[in-house]
Amino acid sequence: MSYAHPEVLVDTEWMSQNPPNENRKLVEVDYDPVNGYQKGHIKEASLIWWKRDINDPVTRDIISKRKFEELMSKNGIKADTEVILYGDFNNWFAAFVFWVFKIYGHENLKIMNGGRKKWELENREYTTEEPQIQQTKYVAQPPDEGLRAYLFDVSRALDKEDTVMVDVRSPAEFTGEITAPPEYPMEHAQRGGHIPGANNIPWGTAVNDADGTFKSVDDLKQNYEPKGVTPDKDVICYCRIGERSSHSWFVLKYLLGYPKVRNYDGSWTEWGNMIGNPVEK
Amino acid sequence: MEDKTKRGLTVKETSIDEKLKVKADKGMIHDMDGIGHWVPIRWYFSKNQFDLEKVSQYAQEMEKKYAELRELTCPDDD
Repeated sequence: MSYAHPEVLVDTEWMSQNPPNENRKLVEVDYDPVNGYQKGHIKEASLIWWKRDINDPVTRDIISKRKFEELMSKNGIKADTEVILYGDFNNWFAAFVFWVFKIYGHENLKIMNGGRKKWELENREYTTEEPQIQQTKYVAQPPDEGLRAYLFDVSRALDKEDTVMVDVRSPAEFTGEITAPPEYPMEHAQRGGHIPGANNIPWGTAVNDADGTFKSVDDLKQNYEPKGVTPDKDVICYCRIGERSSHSWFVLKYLLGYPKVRNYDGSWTEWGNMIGNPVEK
Repeated sequence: MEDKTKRGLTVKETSIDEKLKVKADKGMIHDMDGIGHWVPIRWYFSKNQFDLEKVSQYAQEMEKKYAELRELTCPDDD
């Protein structure tokens, strides 16, 4: 059985045989471009730096439609360009950017399965040369807020049987043993635990350990359905800052084809810091 | 010598710390922008090259650095 939307994935071999051109752009999305893109990237790939480029520089939010249009223009992307995303940290941030592209209505969009991890495991070539990009005029669609869950939506969903919450963090974060690993001292919350009623299905259960590629449809169904995360539900995914949850959002929406999946990008750094929010351990 | 503020950090490599010129376990901490920085977690001073007094001096310098940081962010009222 194939994925519900196989057109959203390319593999590393396909990428190496089908390099970027006028109508096909390759974009590396990094959390840490100093230790990623700048040390080497796939030829002709441009960079989207998650923190700098896709987030509002002042308010905690994704960029506005106008800023998104500027970012697309800067990366040489037109409304009908085929865009392939890949990146560091198991494609978490590439998935986040995929989600933002979809919020602003970009149609022809794919992820390179396995990201930097698989590309490097296969000893494929990198360059430090940055591509020459001709700017474009990009017009985005109005934001599709149906893909995004806000604090209000999550609070409202607490007692609803038809909404299911998927906490994709590690079991140690879910139980409140830690709020963030020591590597990320900026991502702590005042309280540890999880949103009441949430299911703990870590993001990593959707990928193959060896190379970070997505598991088969049957394995993915087995991963979610026994825990009540089924296509007939309104699904909300969350993690700590919304990047791992966009990875699981991608799996549920595009690989399994669930009709209603939202990413709660406020995630635990919002929920676990708000006064009065209910917390379960 | 160990930096206890780095407790729990995963050791990603063991190599020479350029500042103290000794072998050190290192981990990575990501800053507000997501950029990873290598940080020493513990240092292995050879008894042949360093006496306890010298190592204590390094430890006191580290303690002073953290005391200054604490003073900057949470100054004592008095």
